[in-house]
Order: sequence, then C-alpha cells, then structure tokens
Amino acid sequence: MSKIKKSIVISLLSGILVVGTTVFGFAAQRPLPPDAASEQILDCHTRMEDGTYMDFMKTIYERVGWCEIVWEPLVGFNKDLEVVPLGAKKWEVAKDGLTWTFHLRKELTWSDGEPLTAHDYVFALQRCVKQGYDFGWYWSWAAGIKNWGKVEKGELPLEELGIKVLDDYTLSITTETSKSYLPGVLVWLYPVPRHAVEKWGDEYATRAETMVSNGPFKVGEWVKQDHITYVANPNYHGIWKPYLKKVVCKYGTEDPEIGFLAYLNDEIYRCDLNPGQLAYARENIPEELHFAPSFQTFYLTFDTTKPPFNNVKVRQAFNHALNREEMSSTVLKGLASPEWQLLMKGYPGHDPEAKELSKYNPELATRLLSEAGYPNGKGFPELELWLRLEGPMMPIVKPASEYIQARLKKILGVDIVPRIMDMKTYMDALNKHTHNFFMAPYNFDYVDPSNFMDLFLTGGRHAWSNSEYDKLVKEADASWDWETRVKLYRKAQRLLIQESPAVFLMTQTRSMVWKTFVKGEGVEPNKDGIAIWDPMYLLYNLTHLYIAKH
Amino acid sequence: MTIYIIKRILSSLVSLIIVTIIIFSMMHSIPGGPFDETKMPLSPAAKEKILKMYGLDKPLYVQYLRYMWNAVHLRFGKSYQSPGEEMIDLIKRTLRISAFLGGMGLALAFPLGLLLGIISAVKPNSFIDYLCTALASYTISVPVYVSSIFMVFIFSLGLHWFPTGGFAGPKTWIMPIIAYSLFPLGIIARYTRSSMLEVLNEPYILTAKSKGLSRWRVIIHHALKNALIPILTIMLPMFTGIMTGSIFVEKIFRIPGLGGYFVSSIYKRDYPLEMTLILFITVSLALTYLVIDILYTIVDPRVRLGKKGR
Amino acid sequence: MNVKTLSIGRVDILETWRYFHKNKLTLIGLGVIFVFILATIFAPLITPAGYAELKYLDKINSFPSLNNWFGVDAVGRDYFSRVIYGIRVSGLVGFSTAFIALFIGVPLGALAGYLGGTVDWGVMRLVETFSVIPPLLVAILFVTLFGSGLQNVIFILALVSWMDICRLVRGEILTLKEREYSVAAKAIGVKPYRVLFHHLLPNAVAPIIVGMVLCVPNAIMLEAMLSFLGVGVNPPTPSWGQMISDGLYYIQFYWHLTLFPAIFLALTVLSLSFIGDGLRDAMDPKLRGRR
Repeated sequence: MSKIKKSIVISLLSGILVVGTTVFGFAAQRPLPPDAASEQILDCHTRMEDGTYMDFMKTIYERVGWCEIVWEPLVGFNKDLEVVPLGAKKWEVAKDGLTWTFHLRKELTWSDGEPLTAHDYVFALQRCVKQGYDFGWYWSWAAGIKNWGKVEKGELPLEELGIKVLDDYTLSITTETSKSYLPGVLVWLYPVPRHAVEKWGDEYATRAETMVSNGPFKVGEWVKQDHITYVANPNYHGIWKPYLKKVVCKYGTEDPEIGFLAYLNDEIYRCDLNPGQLAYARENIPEELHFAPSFQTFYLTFDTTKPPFNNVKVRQAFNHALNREEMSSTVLKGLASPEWQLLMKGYPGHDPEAKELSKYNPELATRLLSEAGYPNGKGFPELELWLRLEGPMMPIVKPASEYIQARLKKILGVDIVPRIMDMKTYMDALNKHTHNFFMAPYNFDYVDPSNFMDLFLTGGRHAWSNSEYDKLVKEADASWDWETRVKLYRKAQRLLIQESPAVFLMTQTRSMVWKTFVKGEGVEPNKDGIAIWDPMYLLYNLTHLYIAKH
Repeated sequence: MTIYIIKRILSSLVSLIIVTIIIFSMMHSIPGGPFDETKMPLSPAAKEKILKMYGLDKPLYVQYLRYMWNAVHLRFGKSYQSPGEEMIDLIKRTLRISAFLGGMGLALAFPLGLLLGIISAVKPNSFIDYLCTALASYTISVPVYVSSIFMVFIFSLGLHWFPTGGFAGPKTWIMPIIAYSLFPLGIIARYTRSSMLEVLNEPYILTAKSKGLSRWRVIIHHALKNALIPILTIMLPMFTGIMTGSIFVEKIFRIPGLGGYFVSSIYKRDYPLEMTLILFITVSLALTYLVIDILYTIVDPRVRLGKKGR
Repeated sequence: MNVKTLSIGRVDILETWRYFHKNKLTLIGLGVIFVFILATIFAPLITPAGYAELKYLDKINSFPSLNNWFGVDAVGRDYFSRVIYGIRVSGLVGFSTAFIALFIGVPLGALAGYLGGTVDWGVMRLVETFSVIPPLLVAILFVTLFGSGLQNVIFILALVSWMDICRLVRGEILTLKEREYSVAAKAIGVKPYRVLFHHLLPNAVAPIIVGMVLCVPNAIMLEAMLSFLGVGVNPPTPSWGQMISDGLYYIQFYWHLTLFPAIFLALTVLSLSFIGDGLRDAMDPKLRGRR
C-alpha cells in the first residue's frame, strides 16, 4: 500500500476508534440537554417498609420500592398510555388468534453483561407457576396463559405452559382464549436472570452485591430502611436510556405527612400530597403542583348472595341515593372526581351516556327500598362498611364513607358504621365473601376495558354472578374488532349498572408536587395535556427526565 | 434468697410460655397470611404453595413447638419481610439504632427529670413548683407524635437546623433523642417529686437537719438516695420500651429502627418476626421486674420477700 | 363511712380538702374538669349542630369563624360540636377503663395481699404475665382480631391497666394487715372475709382512688396512640385521639383540625393528673407535715 493510502487508512481507523469510543461511552446514557445540571442525581421517596425482593416475578406487592427502574419488561407504557416495544421489538399473532410470537431485541444484556434471551422470560413465568406467585391471578385471569391452572395444580408438566422458547431471541406465548389486547397485558412480564437464580437462589434479589437486572438502572447501594441508590446501568442497550446518573430513594418519605416536610426541605424532589398539603401547595408553590386523574376507581360492593343485598332493589336504592357530584365537590374537593360507571372517563370504552342510569334520585331510592320491604329503612339491618387501611387512600376513603353514612341515614334511614380494617383481613373477607358491604378500590393494570370488566366475571373477587354479563364480556374480550368490542362492553356495563352489584362512586385525582428543576419529556404534559409522574409510569418517567441547573 | 430467685425465674418462664402461646394463637387467628391478595384472590394451588414455603401448612401446635425449639437455640429463622438476612441480623441492625437513640433519650431524661422533680419537691406549691410541674406535665399530656411533628416544623423547616429525618450523622439524631426523652422526663419528674416529698418528711431528715448539715447535703445525700428506689423501679421497665423504639418517633423521623416492625409484622402477618419481638420484650421485661424485686430486698431491709415476715 | 367526722375509712374528707386546696394546680385541674363536665352535659345547648351532622358541606375545612368557633372539619361537621362531644367519648373511655381495671384489680389485689401464700404468688404471677406484654402491640393484635370500635378499645385498655391498681391495693392491704386493729379484730373472732371487706378495704380507699384517677388520663392517652395507628374508635364517634391523628393529614394548612382536640386532650389529661397527684398528696398522712 502506498504511503498516502496508508495514512488515510490509519487516520480513518483512528477516527472511527475515537468516534466509536465516544459513542460507546455515551451508549449507556443519553446526551444531556443544554440546561442540564452537572450532577444528575434524583432524590426521591419510597415507603418505610423495606420490600422483600427486588424481583417483580417473585413478588409484586412486596417488592422493593422504585425497583421498576432496574427492570425492563417485554413492553412498556409511555405517558400517552401507548404500548412501547421494550424487551421485544416486534410481534405478530397467528391466525387462530391464540399464539403470539415476540421477537426480542438481540442487543439487550443483563447488568452483569450476560445476554438476555427468551429463556429468561420463560424461566420467569415457569418459576412463578411452580412457586406460587402473588400476581399469579394476572397470568391466569387477565393474560389467560394457556394451561396455567393445570400446570399450577401439577396436572400438566411445566413445559406445557403457554410460554415457550422458539429460539434464543424469539418467544412464543399462547393464550386460552383470544385476546387482541395481549401486548398491553404483557407490560408486567419481566425476564428473570436464570444464571443468578441458579447461583444464588431467589435471594439474589435481596442484596445489592448479588443483584442482576436488565433495566436502564441498576442497584448501587442498599442500606436497609435508610436509602437505596440506583445508578445508570452501563450494560443497558435498550431504547429508554436515562439522562440521570443516580437515583437515591429515601425510605419513609412516601407518606405525604412525612415526605412533604422532606420535600420542602429539598431532601426529595417529588411528593404526593394529601388534602391539607394541597391547600398549602396551592397557596405557596403553585408552579410545582400537578394534578393527574388516575384510573383508580372506588366503588361500594355488596354480597349479592345473602339478604339484604340479594334484592336488586336494595342495591339500586343505594345507587340512586348517593349524590356523587355533591360528594366530589364538597368532602372530596380536589381529591376525586365523580364516576357513575366502571370504565371511567378517559379510559377506553367509557360510555358517556351511562351516567343517566345512576342518576341521583332520592325519591326513587326511597321508593325502591320500600318496595324491597324496608320502608324508610325499617327492618334494615345495621351494616358495617368496611374500608381498607391504606395510607394514601385514607384522606379520600374516610371522608367519603362518613358522607355516605350520613346521607344514607338521612335519605334511606339505614344505619351504617364505617370500619377501617387492615388490608389482609379486608381482602380475606372480600375474597371469601364473609362480609357483605365494602368500599373497594381498583387500580388499572393495563389499558383495555377488559381489565376492569373482567372484575365482575363469575369467579373473581365478587360474589355476584350473571351469565348474560359473562357472555357479553367474554365475547368482547375475544373479539378483534374494536367497534364490536366497545358495543359489547357498553351493553355489559349497562347490565352491570342495572343489576348494581357495585355502586361506582369516584376516581381518585392524584395531586403531587415536583421541583421545577426536574424537566424533560418524562414530566411534560401528554397528548391530553396532563403531566403524569406516577408509579404506574415510573420507568417512562425516570428515563425521560433530567435535572436542570438550579 | 437464691431459692427465691430460682423460684422467680421458673415462674417467669411459665409466664413467658403462656404469653407466647396467647400471642401465637391470636396471631394465627387473624385472617389472611403472608401472601397478598390485594387485587384478586390467589388460586388455591398458588396459596398452598406459598403456605408450604413458609411452613404454615403444618398444624399450629407443630409450628409453635418448632419455633420455640429453634428460639431456645437462638435460631429465629428469617423474617418474611426481609428474606435476605437472618432474623438475628435484622434485629442486630435495627436494635442498635433504636437502643442508641432511645438510650440517649433516657440518658437525657433522667438527670433533667430528677432536677425538675427535686426543685419541685424542695419548694412545694411555689411558683417554681408549678413551672416545673407544668413542664413535666406537657410531656405526658401531648402525644409524642404531635410533639415530633411540631419539632420538624420548627427546627427543620423553620430554622433549618436539622434535616427532617433519616439516620445519618449527629444532626439527624438530636430531634429523635429529644422526642424519646419527653415522656420519660415527665414521668421521672413527677415520681421524683412525690418520692422526694415523702422522704423529706421522714424523721431522719429532720434529724440530719438538726445536726447542722447544710440543706443541699441533706437533700442530695440523704433524701435523694432513699427516694431513688421508687424512681428506678419506674425507669427500668422504660428501658425495654425505649430500646425497642417508638413506632411514632421512628415513623416521623424515618429512623431505620425496630419500632416500625412491631406494627408492620402484624399487618404483614410476619409470624416469625412477631414471635421473636414478643419473646424479646417479654424476656427483657421479666428480667427487669426480677431485678427490681431483688433491688428492693437489698436496699430496703424493711421489705421482706418470701412467705415469712409478713 | 363515718358521718360524724366525715370520713371514708382513714380518709378524713375535710382534712383532705384543706390540704388539697392548698395546691393551686390541683384546683385548676378540678376547675377545668368541672367546666368540661358541664359542657358535655349541656352539649346540645351550646353546640350549633350534632357531632355527626354534615351541616357545613359548603365550608369544608374552613377556619374558625363566628358561626363555627373551631371551624369545620373535612366532612362538613362543626368542629366545636365534635370537640365538645369528644369530652363524652374521652370520659367514657377513661372512666370505663378505670372502672373495669378497678373491678379486676381490687379484688385480686385484696385477696393476694390478705391471703398471702399461694394465692399471692398466683396473683403476682398473673400480674407479671400481663405486665410483660407490650401494651401497644397486644392492643393492635386484639383490635385487628376483634375489630375496632369503642367497646373493644376500652376492653383492651382495661386489660393493660389493671395491674397497677392490683399492685397498689395489694401493697396497702399488706401494710394494713399488720396494723393493730386488724390483728385485734382477728383476735376477737371476726371472720376473715369480714375483716377484709369491712376493716381493711375501706382503709385502702386512698390508693384505690388515686390509682383510678391516674388510670383515666393514661387510658385516654393510650386511646390517642391507638387512633394514630388506625385502630381506634369508629366514625363518626368523636374521639380526640382520632381527631388529632386525622388532623395531622391537614396540619400544614388546616391547623385548627389538630390544634383544638390537642388542647382539649392536654387539658383533660393534665387536669386529671393534677387531681390525682393532689389527692395522693393530700390523703397521704406522711406528707401532711410539710405544708
């Protein structure tokens, strides 16, 4: 090679080297906007109680706080509630509508460098079904993974479970019935590092030293009950690379009563608000205040198999005796918005005309109760309205229950005593139908009407069973045409409201504050004009925000 | 005397066993378990597997005996809430913090309480008596969680002297220590006052005074020594309570101590931790009462123990 | 009770009053309690609404004003009404607990002190068993198991409070047993139980009264603690502890929700404590010389 050619090749190669290393160096992190601060560290809050495992597929409810950001699911949500291909890059469904093929991104690895393959996803679900998983109902009920029930009981071998490896980067998922919305449901499917579990057992996810994950962040330091530090994962090659370098979660600051004080002292940068603090924030820091409607519905639910609630007129009387608008504008001002149906405003499948069916009508309510055999509440047994003890919900649930108590007494003449029960006692009674009157919340898991409508199918957590409703909902779930589905769901909802096994009251309006120097598309308004920074969107939020100079 | 001690230890053991049986039965009678059905019910198969994993599928008495057998060998197993560490480690790490802050709180309360009490007793029904009594009384009439929140407002948000919470260096210790000291301060002050008042009226005080001893010598050397016993009997049980941390103080100041686990272990049905905590406290308290009783015999010969002499 | 010299047992009422009213704090305490009792008896007359009436829905959380002296709470109820009716609840909680504790503690203590021997040993071990149970923990367990509500709260509070009265009574009976008059009574052939009930117990009245009066504020405070943890009384019962802990949610802005019940709680607990202390000082003959 001539001398000139040689130098050209050398300079080209070195150029590529330089560019390559700089690009590679930034590979794990996104280039920062111009107004970014030098230190990209986010201080945030988490519960006081330590979680158990930092592994979604081991436990959902007891998981360590904010560990959403060290894991990347198969698909994710963005702030417009669109399904984003994260672990998978594309997918297709077979003609029978039951078998899906997911093509995984080949460049993804675990935080320790090991390649991330389809085997890890299969291992995750297989481990769940083998061990007993608190979110197991989701996979058997909502996702309807083929043979889940039978494999769980041991009637079929593990290999028959409806999730299989086609090859290292291709995953096959089969459902029992056809579900056109399955990709959205898979937002909770995380892979589990098989190699770590084989080495350390499930306890790999209890210590920072042994932790292996696949998300944009990884665990840095974990001082139990004090703080947990997540750092940007240099081995993350997915599409949601973060701006942030470090996230420090301080235990005990999740309760607004305690967290807000820390927020005001600049110790954390985001905080949920309770009603008293809402008023304070409105007056003093309005630019940091943000509201977001949530897809969390609250409803009264009855045991429809025993008196007095086995009589539909009694249930309808309750439905028409409550003035949701008054409740939301007085005792729940700024905390909740009224709701008359299961699929709330803003959620797909919402029926704008369903409101009429649950209209506030005290005369009708009194008449219905008389017709049911309890004129003016005479003879009606004294009821206990059970509420769930859940810190953040108490400012909503308590005043609402006291309002309902007073109103039902006045309009219907029935005596109700609200009682706050601890979570497990409450759920045990609800699931086993040992108590007859609850105020229950339900937060969405994925974005599709089936998430809520399936709640009232026979065999769920409610005692009510209606074959017509089951038929409509199952047909809607299985259909592939959106218009047909909406029509069927509407019909089912109207039936639901008419039969009133539940009286839908309101949805929570979350209010929160975050510092003005926290910026980025993660905290900017979505297509509906709402800026959401919420646990359900955490992965999206934290990978799309940065700290500005302040 | 030794026979008495042996008898007491044996009967304390019996009390302990009875208490643990009662608490164990109560714990397991509460519906629910260390599995979550927050949204939808668990399938029976899944529940079965989870219960088996925790050893909860065995009959109750087997679980109890197994736990007690292991406990005697100091093997407490693992807390359901913290499966990554042994129970012993969990208790070690949290007890260290709770005991430290609580102990410092008591260390602050003891001399201050004594002082307030002595001053009140020396000049009863005077203005200074009322002042000291009022101070001591504030601490026992306002719930500690209210005082704590006010402290955060004033010293953290208002004056910016301390961070709002956490456990990271001396600055974060001061407010919790003060919070811990409030209630014992009040109790010690009141008991000191009444104890001193009683003692100061005894004839031997008059004798001491008539012998020409200075007022303060009388108070400190003669009166206080005798007044101390009832005060100690109040203080010693406080150690156990303080050591295990106050759930209120730890919640508000975000202290990674033992107090929070008392409540969370019930709500989360963390049976091993609950039992271990109960065992811990009851053993500690039983020892405390034994020590107090022995102290009484040694110090006050007028008090006789056992069947004779009454 | 001896009418001629106006006394109950050893406690001479007039003498007691003389020393009692020398202590100004005790007098203030008595005054406060008296005012509270009046307020709660005449509650319907002095309050603009019932404690459960949602009369002011349009003025949720509003601050104190001429119409609502203590403001309005989160559900639209007049706060002054709730605080005043709260006197009844606290009184109920405090005194019920004290009475039940009395009911359990006095007989056990008396029997233990008087009979001695195995009975004494047994009772003291019972006392010890109950004393080593951490009260807060067992209260939460109990309420989680049997449900919240006034009755259960009072029951569990009594269960953790009777031991002090038992010890006090036992101690007093032990001392009195050796006194001349009881020995004399035995000598002339008075039956043992008569000695206990007619001679000893009446003289033990002083510590019983003191124990009871000091039990009340303890119970009220414990109930406030339980309410904070969410295991107190049920709505709409206006318990101060419940109101304070609910008010803590709003304390940053709506300060009135915590302030007023906290003041009333403190005043009640203080007054009762002062009265108890004063009674104890006044009834104890050893302290008389010093005034």
